[in-house]
Amino acid sequence: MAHFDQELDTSGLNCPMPVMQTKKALKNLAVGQILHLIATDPGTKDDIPGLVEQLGCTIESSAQDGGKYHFHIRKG
Amino acid sequence: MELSSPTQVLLGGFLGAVALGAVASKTNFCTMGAVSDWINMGKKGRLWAWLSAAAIALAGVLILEATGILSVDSSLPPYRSANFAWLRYLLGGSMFGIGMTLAGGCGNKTLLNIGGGNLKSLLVFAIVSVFAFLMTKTDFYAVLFHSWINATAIQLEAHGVSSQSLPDILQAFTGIDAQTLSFAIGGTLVCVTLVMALRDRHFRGNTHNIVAACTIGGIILGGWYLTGGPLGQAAIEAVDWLDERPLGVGIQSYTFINPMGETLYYLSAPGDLLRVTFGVLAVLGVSLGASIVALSTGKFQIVWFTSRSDFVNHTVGAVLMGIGGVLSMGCTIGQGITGVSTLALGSFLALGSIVFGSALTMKVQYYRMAYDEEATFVAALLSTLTDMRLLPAGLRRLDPP
Repeated sequence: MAHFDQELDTSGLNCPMPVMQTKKALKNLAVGQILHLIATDPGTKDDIPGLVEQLGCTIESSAQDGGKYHFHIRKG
Repeated sequence: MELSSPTQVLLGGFLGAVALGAVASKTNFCTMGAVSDWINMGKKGRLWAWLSAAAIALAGVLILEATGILSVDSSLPPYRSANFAWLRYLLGGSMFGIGMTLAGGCGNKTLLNIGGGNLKSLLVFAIVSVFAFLMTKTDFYAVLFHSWINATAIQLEAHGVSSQSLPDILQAFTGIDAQTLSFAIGGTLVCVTLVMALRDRHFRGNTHNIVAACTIGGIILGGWYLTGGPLGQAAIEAVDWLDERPLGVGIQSYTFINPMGETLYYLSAPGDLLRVTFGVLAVLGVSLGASIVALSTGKFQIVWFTSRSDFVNHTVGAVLMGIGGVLSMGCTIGQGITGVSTLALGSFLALGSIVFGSALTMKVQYYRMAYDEEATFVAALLSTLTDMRLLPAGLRRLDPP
């Protein structure tokens, strides 16, 4: 399992909550730390890369496991 | 066996709705998502997709009206009504915008979610249907809203204005022919919207946005042509001769909140096919289109509430959507695209109010989230309104998160 500093599970939540919770979680991380985001809203597949780009962060890896989307996001 | 013209219109409307559901689902077209992208990320790609769809529908209506193929003057609902009830657009639109943000999406998105297996949206649909039904088929609206909403309405005909379409209003002030004004105002809006959309890299750089704008705008236009063109006119004339007239026959295009109430009305007596309207089939068609995409792409997934607050948010949101959507005479599609394509002033007010209500709710939610719920609702609201420059800075209670 890839390393991460904080995990955020937004399973079951619809847009815009995963985006808003991710935004808040990333603000609370130190630069270089990694957030592991778990989401079930299919919209996050498009929304999270957009948010990450906007905040100057990077997606280290992303994967789909059944109905769950996993993102490892490094704070920039 | 040849189908009658009213049946052909219903069938065409259903097929259009299936296409609408499939395309919106495949392209991630979402009006609340559009506001979220703008407010939370500063990106306007999906917002331009929404507005471009409206511009494309508007361009088509301008051409069809100019060539005499159809007129949307007497539409369902009466977008261009000379009774300009401005307060219902502002209040209803704001209520709908708040509601859709709490409930996880507008009317169209609720139907898309249902098609994808989201049971939360199924509950939202049920509640919206009940309140839309109460607002349109009972005394609920008359008792709670009519007296004070109607007291503020402006009877445009008393001021020499024949309807609330922007060209008719401006004709009364300038004396310029309404047809000329239609092309001037409509053409300008279409060109400015499409040029601004294409200048936005998040719109032009995402094929989904372009496909969604063209297809959904085209389907809304198709709804107008179907119900108001030659076949639609034949259907209207055909039902005039019937002893038992089917409900909801008229010139219309896609909208979803009142039709959710109509769906409930139909389901209360499913054997009565006279209750199957264009709107009922639009509701069913969008969900079917979305479910086809969800099943074929492996995205079908049963989703239920994660917490009590999630349940409360969706329930309150659905009530606001049902009441607000009927009050504003349409949702983000019904007013935001279909209504705007008629150039009715009320549609622009409703659209602006929906976006305002949604943006306000997202910002209040983010303040409360950022302060770990320690911020009171009032403090978050005052700070949000200060951010929006609707209140003086001195009333701010929380620093921007």
